[in-house]
Amino acid sequence: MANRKRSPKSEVPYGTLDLMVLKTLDGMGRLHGFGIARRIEQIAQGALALNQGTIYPALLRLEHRGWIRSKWGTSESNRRARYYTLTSTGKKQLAVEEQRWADTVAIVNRLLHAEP
Amino acid sequence: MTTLRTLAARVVAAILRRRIVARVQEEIETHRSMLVSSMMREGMSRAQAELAATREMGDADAVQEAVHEQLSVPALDSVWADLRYAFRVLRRGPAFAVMAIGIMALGIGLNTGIFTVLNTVLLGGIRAPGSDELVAVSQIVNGMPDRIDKGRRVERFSTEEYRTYRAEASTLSGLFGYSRVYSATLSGDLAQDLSGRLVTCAYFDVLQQPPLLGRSFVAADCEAGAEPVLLLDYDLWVTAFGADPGVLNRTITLNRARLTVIGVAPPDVFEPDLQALDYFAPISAAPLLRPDQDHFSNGDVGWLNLVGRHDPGVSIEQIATEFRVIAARIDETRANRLTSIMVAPATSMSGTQSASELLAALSVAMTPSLLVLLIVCANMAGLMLTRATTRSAEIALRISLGASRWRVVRQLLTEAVVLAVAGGLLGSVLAFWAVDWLVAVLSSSFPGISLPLDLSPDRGALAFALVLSVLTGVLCGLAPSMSITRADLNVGAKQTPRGDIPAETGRLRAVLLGLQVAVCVVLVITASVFVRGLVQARSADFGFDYENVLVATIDYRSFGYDANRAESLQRRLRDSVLQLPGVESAAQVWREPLSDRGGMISVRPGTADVPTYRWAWRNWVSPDYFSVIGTPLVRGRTFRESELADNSGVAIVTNETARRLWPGQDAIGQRLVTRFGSEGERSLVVIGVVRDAQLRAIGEADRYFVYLPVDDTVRTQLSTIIRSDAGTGELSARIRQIVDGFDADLAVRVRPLEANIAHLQGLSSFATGLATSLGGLALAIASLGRFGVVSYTVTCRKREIGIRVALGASISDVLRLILARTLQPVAIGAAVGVGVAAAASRLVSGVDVRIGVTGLDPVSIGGAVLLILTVALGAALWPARQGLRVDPAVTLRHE
Repeated sequence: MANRKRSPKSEVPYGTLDLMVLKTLDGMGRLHGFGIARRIEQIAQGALALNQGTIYPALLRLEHRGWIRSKWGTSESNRRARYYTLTSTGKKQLAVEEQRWADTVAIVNRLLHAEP
Repeated sequence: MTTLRTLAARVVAAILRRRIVARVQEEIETHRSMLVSSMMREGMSRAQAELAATREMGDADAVQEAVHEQLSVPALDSVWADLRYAFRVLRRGPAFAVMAIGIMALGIGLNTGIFTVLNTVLLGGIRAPGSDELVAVSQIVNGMPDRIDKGRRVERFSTEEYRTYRAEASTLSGLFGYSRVYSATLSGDLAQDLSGRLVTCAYFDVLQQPPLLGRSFVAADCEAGAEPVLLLDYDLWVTAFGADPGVLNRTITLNRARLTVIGVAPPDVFEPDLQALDYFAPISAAPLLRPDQDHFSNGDVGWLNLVGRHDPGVSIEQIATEFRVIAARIDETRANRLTSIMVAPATSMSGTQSASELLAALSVAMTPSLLVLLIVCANMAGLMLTRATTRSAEIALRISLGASRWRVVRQLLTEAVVLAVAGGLLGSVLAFWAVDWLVAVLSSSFPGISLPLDLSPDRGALAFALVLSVLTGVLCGLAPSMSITRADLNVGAKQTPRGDIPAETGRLRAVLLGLQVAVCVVLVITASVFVRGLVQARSADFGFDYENVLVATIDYRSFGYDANRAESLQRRLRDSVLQLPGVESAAQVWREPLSDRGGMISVRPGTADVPTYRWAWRNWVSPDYFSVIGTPLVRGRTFRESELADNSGVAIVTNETARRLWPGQDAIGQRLVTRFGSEGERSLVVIGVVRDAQLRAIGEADRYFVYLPVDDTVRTQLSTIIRSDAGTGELSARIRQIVDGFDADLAVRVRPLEANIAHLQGLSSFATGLATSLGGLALAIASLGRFGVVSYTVTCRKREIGIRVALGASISDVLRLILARTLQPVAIGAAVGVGVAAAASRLVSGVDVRIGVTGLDPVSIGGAVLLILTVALGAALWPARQGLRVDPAVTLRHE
């Protein structure tokens, strides 16, 4: 894993896209890629510049780890689209990731607010 | 766990790479167009929306790259390095590589060969041009209680049904049907029993196998009352007619019917279910060959298996759908009738349709060769372990330098797989070469089976060999490499290869040795059981005198004879034969000794308080039978002429039967109760006891055997047996004359009783040959491996041994020390092997094998265990002694 290439340049904090995708699927249930991207931007209320294409390598990665699974389906506008759902391992993983994120935020916060 | 999962998913993804890339591409495209339309809904023009969407999606190349990275397997790059290293290591020790590849080649080659035969013969498609377009159609008809052919798992089609499907099925370009095997007796100079099938007239056309000579059937041949014709099978044409082209338009007599030969089938013609055929006749010939059961015109009889040919591009599902529609229309003609239709690719065994039976046959045939492969695996694992131990210094070094354990295991596994694949390739070459020989042996051992003339290696067999090789490699390499990398690194780095062997690998080695011994014991016991059977088949006293006895058989029923007519012919035949010079005696019997057919009945002693029935063989005989066959009466008398009628109520039993049913009593005058399905219970009086004989199988006298006087129920199935010292040929000719004089249409078949024994002995030889080759092969491989391992161990322990000898230990003390390590696993392995063999023999003991295989006995077990112990100790002792010849002083100084 030493020479993992950096993700395409994005303003999404490194490593948080997975968490966002998992959380979105947890909240919304079954969604296609466009729906996931739309939902993330909606929540961010324009504060996040998401390169929507980067969502697909992330989805592939999560699927390989067994956290989500996908199936072809038909969209509201009658298009063939691939729908993603959270698996039970994915659900457990989400809890782990949430905790990790909370810890990271807590550490950074403590650093920032530490008395000199 | 997640890492493994991810790796597995990545390997799969790497294989499916192109499909996944295409899938993601499609998802991104859809995403883009969704973005565009949502922006256009918000009021942008198409051009603006397209531009904005491209911006929103981000850098397309970077996304592509990320997807590709996700799909690559990081390990794949280093596999190449592992392979190169493995080749280098193996080149450095060519002796080891040659030995390993040789052993692997034997194990994998054996399995590939047997698999090739089974795969093409049992599961392969029909061997005809464009056979992938052939489908077998079968049905199950419900709600028709009167339909004949019930009780089969898959029913056949009636003539009418066949015609309906043939006329209406548009998804098929052709459809033909074939019957079960029709036995018929050929009359005249060439008199013999023939096996053939009745086929619909498109048979040769749909198969695209035109006759070698003459014409194939035309539609008119299959109409009721058509001029009777037939095609000869190629083999019959050559053997019986001397390949004479003049046979065309000749008339031959089968049963009573005269049929004109219109052609000769090609040598490789499709013969269903691998049953060798002598003739093909059109379905309209059914009433001629069997006047008593006209399947051709009876609409309630299912008797045809259907095979169709479809055009390329038509799917099996389409064919099945169309057939179901037609079946529904047929169902409407009868109340309650409900037909299910099944369509599947046609195979050479489609007619039997019993997948579970095929699977059972496959597994029985594959089990011994897979056991040999197991020995090969255990052996290779032992050798790998031995070698890895010599390399433990190198391995310890690599691990201490930071190589992960997984990395080292992978390296060792790669070596094992390289060896296995090389062995597998060599073995497959040997196998494909040996398959022709195997088929030739099979064909000559089982004359009734029709095997394809050539079996060329196919993709299935190659894939099987490759998968088996890789599996074998992993299996051989995994245990030793795990074990060796677990061993204590410090000890390894400091001491081996000179020091002692780590306990860990020592235990694994013992398990591997025990496993080989156990499998060897199973195979050798099996072989010795067969050998004992063969010896008995060659030398045993069967309890009857089979020399100078002829059996004359007439299929009375096929000629429309009733019991009365059959009886008068039998009487005439017997009286006339007895007049002939050299003839001593003649009698009638239902089934002659060691016939391949027979019947069983339940019996119990009439006196028993609690009725317990046992299965007994039964036969019907005339009074002179026992003197003709040379089985003397021990007590009592034989039947009287007056008792040859139904319900005479007398029976004769064998000595063993009497002993078992009435222990310690005189059997004469006892009541014997028999029960047979429809006949119900009958009470008989025992009037005679005859000597025991091996009447059903060679190798063991039958336990329960009951003789009844011939009566009208079996009259039309009786054979005449004749004891005579006149030559077989002359006597057969005389018998034919006598039968001709009675009824010129009748065909009689005459053969020596010895033929039955020769047939069983042939079967026994084949089974014994197979079992002993496999047992011998297993033993050879196992002892070879043992030899190598002990040689190595002795080399390893030279220093320890040198010290012991220097301190005054005798050579025999040291040998005992080394042998102790061999003896324990060998003893445990042998015990396990005997247990498994015993359990297995209980499983197969219910099978009627008829070749003197009577299950386990102390001689077989003892002999096998003794042989294996000897070989195992020998394989250990010899290299040990060789190793000890060295002067201890030299060994110690060398250190």
